[in-house]
Parts: sequence; structure tokens; C-alpha cells
Amino acid sequence: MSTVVFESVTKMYGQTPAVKDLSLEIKEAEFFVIVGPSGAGKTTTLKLTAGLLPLTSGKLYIGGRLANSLSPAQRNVAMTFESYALYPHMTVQDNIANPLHSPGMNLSESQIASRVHEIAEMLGMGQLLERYPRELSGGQKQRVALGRAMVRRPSIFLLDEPLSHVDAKVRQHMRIELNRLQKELKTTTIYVTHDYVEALSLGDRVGVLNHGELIQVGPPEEVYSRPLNEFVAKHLGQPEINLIDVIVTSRNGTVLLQGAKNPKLQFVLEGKRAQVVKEANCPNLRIGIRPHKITCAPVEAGALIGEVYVFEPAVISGQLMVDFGGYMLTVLTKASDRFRIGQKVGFEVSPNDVYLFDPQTGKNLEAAR
Amino acid sequence: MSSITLKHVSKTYMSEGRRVEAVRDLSLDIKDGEFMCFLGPSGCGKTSTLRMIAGLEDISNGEIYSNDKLVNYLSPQERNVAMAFETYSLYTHLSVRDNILFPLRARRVAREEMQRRLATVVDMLDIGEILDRSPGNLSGGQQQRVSLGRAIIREPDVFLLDEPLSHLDVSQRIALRARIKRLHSDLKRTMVYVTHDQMEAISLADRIAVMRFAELQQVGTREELIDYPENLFVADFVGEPPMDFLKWEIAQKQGRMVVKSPVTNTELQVPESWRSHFLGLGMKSVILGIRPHDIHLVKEPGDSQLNGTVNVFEFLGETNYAHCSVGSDEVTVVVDTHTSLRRKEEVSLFIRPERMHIFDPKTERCISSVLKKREIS
Repeated sequence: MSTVVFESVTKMYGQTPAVKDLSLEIKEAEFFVIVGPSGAGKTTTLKLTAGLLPLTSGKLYIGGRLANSLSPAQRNVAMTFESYALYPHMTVQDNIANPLHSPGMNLSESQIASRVHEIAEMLGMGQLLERYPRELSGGQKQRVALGRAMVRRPSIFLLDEPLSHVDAKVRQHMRIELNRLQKELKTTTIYVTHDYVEALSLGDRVGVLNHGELIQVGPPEEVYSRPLNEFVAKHLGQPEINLIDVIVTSRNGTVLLQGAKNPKLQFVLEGKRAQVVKEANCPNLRIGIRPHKITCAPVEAGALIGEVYVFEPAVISGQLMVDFGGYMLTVLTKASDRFRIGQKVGFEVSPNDVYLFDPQTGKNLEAAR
Repeated sequence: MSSITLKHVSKTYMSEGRRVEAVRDLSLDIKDGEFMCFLGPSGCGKTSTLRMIAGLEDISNGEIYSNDKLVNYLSPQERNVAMAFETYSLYTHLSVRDNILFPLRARRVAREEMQRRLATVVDMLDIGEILDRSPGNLSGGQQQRVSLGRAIIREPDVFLLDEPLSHLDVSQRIALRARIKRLHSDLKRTMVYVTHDQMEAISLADRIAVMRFAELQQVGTREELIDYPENLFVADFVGEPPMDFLKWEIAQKQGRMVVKSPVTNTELQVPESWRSHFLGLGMKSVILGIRPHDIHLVKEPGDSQLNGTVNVFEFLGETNYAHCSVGSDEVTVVVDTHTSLRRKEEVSLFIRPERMHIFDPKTERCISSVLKKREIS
């Protein structure tokens, strides 16, 4: 039983709340990712779980047991830090073995050696055991830190931005490794990151945190495609979602949304969606359109027409910025497409791909809480 | 307006009593108005090259020409180049306006001319609202825009940019990248840009010069680097997700040429037109390279070139990656956003033979790129 349950957990630093009324259940063997900008309360949440910080109020259960007053050692959790925190004077082998020498482990030297080798093998570090941390690359150091966490066979892993200091290529490789490792070990994992790509690709579920508040929890596909509010929509996805202020006009059973700065930008909503907008009773809305949901189309045929501000090719998809009469929209194009600056370009958006946000509260009108 | 020509340029310096080569025998033509990126890992010599073009470093050997005029011995001021750096190096005691105007005041440019140029710069960089602020109160992206403004206002012939985006967060980086690209089009000046980020190079440059260990590896357009890499390093360094590499063998089989796994019976047919060349080389071991977006994945297993099993599936929002085992190897495949896969799911993979890259494992040269280029010309 390696579940983690937060019940109305709050952590105050003086008068400032770092985590506000957090309620969350993390399941046995789950890979749970907490994502948010810096200062969101991510690391504080991990430290509360590890027992490195006391709760201000609320209850924390680990493995079904109230853990509020348990020491870090009693919680049987292992935490890695962004800065690796390796002992510089010890070899890789000794760094990994270190937690096994702590009192209470009662392991023989040969048992320790076999565990260290098992872990080193798993992480592909067999050849590095005799090296010192200063002789390792960032990716290798992070692997040692993971090894040191794994060697104790804890019931829960707490990982704090483990990939933020390694270069892009190593990061991608480590991401795959972590994914595979966690599925093999089936150890409940809480992973903290500011990088939405890591969150989406690693998490069984993702929790989005901002200003100490948990905004949305769900599987990656759900959080990405049905964001509860503007913040979640903006934070997950690169290039960022296009946000456009529109004016709402009701006509019989339908609703017309028109760009506040350019009335040619318009969408008609029907049926249930029109009803949702009418019930919200907002004269203005902010709509959101993901860059890859905008399709380039011929200039004729009544499509929306804009002018290319800049085009940046890439290997998988190009990135186009289009000046559409007062709006600068970002569009992800097919890899083979090419555009010239100043060129007129048509584009199409299905009304189904348009998110509707309340401009005051930022709430997604269609996301039932 | 300026072209830049480097002829056999080398840079050596002494470090702790040892001679270190920072740049070795580099020859390259940068055309008038071109956007040229120097791309490579840290320590490859890209910044040393930029600093030699700027006149901030002596040239140990070789010549640098600007518009066919030798500039080796000209001071930075005499070269009419402007630089922007990784760190913004703004004067914190001056306002944004005074920072930008600084180079003109130093040159005693007339007042009306200063105001005219300032207006253009403000418009291009969208910094009208921060003109009276102090650099200390600005975001990284804003500071770098000011630093670019200070370079632009001098109206130099050549812009030299050294990792200008590397300290910015992702959103600011993407926004400023687009702005720099647009600036190049508006200013129509030669730009030389140094970066370690291949995405930046691909999105910005007309041509990219890839460097490693002080040497130029390849210079070409993004399409040339992606489709016709000259060696293993370029193939691996450029492109994201990186190219898949398989240590396979090349062999004749019933009158055809195939590349095959040395362990399992997985194989792929080599284009017929490459056959005689590989026969002539008489090689056995090869490294097969495949770009993850060149692999077509079909969800049903069955009659395919390669049968794969999904090890890790990554949902990334705008695109998805499937990391699949194929026999004893592993490949990454780019799949579209509508395709969702489960771990252990069996899939079929297809690759067009002409999209394969075949490398000589000893020399690390890409043999197939040579053959493909020959076919085109």
C-alpha cells in the first residue's frame, strides 16, 4: 500500500501560503506529475510529503497511515533534488550504497554490493561505479542520484525537477528511461516539473499547480485537451495557445463570436455550445485556439485571410506567425510548407477546436467541475 | 551591405603552457544579406569564430575578408559590425532610451537623426512602453530586445549575435526568435548567429555551419543538413527527436542489397541504384540512420517491413512519440496527435528506402548522402 493522500493540506511561510488547501489522492504504483511555474508550491508539496517540512494544517496519509508527525525515515520515501546533492568525495558506488549503511537497514557488505550492482545495471552505469561525481556529466549525475533513491527500495519516489539541468538530448533520453523504469519498478512516484512536455509524457495523471492551488488533475490527454481554465491551456502546449477577445451576439438558437479588433474573425456556435455561452451571459469572451488546430487554406474560398509576419521552418512542423488584422496568430504548419514574409495566407479553424474562456475568471465555460 | 569570407582561418591560444586549437583551418563564404548560423556543442569554436569576425580576437592564421577587403588588422570599430551577446550588458544606471542611444551619442550623431533612428528601432522591437524604464526592472526577453535595439540603431553592415536567446524561458525565447527572424528580413543585413540549439539554427538560418572540435563539419541549408548529413555527428546533432541509429550489416540477398540486423532476421531493402556502389565498397558493418518522422507507423501488426512493439508512448500535445523495439534494436517514431498507443502494443513500421541514411562505422561518413546528392545533380 503506497498511496499518498492529501486532505486539505495547507503550508504557510509566515503569512504567505505556499500550498493552499490541497486535496489529492495518489494511487498505488501511479506516476503522478505536478506541473506549474516557479513559485507554484511544487517543491513545497514534495517536501511536505518527504517530511522535510511540517504541515501548517490538514492531513497527510502515506500508505493509509496518518503521516503528519512521522519522521522522514519512518515514511519510507526517497527524494532526489534538482541539484543532485551527491557526496563529492565518494565514488558513484559509495554514493549509491550510502543509504544502505544507515542504521536500521542491517545489510551485509555482500548484500549491499549486490544491490548497488543491480541498480547500476538497471540505470546503465555499470562502468561508472569507480568514478567521482566531478568526472560525470549532468545526465550521469542525475542517474546516480536516482540510483541512490532507488537502492533503498522505498515505497514512494519523490523527484524534484530531475531533468532540468541536463541538455535537450540527454533529457529526452532520460525521460524515456524514467518512464520505462517506473513502469518496471511499479513504485508510486511524485514528480515535480515546470516543463509541460515532461508532465504530459511521463504522467499517468498530471496535477497543474499555480500560486499554491491545485487547478486541475487528470490524465495528460484530458488536461491538455479539456483545460479547466485559461492558465492550464496556456501552460500546457508550445507554442502557446492563441487567445483572442471576442464579442458575443446571440441570434435565435446560435451564437456569433466576432473578434473585438477584427470582426472578420468569426465563429458561429450552435446547439449545446450556444446554450452554454448564453447561460454564461458574458458580453465578451476570450477564445483559445491551439496553433496546430489552425489549418492553412487557399486564399480564395472565404477562408480567413492574414499576412505572414514571419515563418520558421522546423523538422516536424513549421511555425507561422500571421498578422490577422490586429491579431498575431501562431500556426503550426506541415513540415513541407514554405511561406514568405508578407505573403497572404488563408486559414481555417473548426469551431469545435475553439475553447471558450470567461475573460474575467479565465474559466473554461464548457469544463464542468 | 557586406559579405564575409573566411580563408583557412585558425585560432590557437596558450592555456596552462599548452597550445589549444580553438578553430582549425576554417574556410567559408557568408553572402551579402545572408543569415548564417554557427551551430555546435560548447567548446567547438563557434564563439571564437564570431569574435574573430568582430575583431575582438586576433586571427592566428588565415584571412578574413569583408566585401573582398582584408580586415584581419582592422579594429572592431573599423569593421562596422554590431554585436549582441548572451548576457545583455546594458548600463543599469541609464534608461532603456539612453542605453539604445548610447552608441549614437558616442559617435556624435545629429539629434534629428538620432530621433529618426530611435523611432524605427522602437517600432521594430515593440519597446515604446519601456523606453523610460531602467534595465534592472525588465524581463530577460525585454532586456535582450533593448540590447538588440542598441545594435540595430548603429545601422551596421553586419550583425553578430552570440547565443542571444539562451538565458530566456521557453515562451520568451520563441517570441524573440520570431522577432529576430523578422528583423533580418526588414533590415536586409548580413547576420551571423552563434547557438548550441539546433532548433534555433533550423528556424532562423538561411544556411547553417555545423562545428565540432574546432572544425567545420558541414555547411548547408536546413534541408541539406536534415536530408543529406555528411557524417554521423551532423546527423545526430541536427534534428529533434534525434535520428535513430542501428548497428546493422549490409549484404547481397537474392540479387538485391539489404541492410539487416546482425541478431534478428529484420531487414530493409536498399535502393537498387545504390547497389553497385556498396558492392564496390565491400563493407559489412554499417550504421543505419532513420529520422523518426520518416517512419510511418500503422497500428495493426502484420505484413510490414518492420514489426515493432511499443516500449514507451509519449503524449506531447502537438505531436506524439512512440519508442518501439524492433528485434533487438529500439527506434523512436513520430506519430500524429490522433494516434494513441499502449505499452506493449504491436505495430507495423514502414520506411521508404530512399529515406534511409547509411554510414560507414569507421570513418563516420554518410555514404548514402553522397549517392543521393549524385542522383540529384
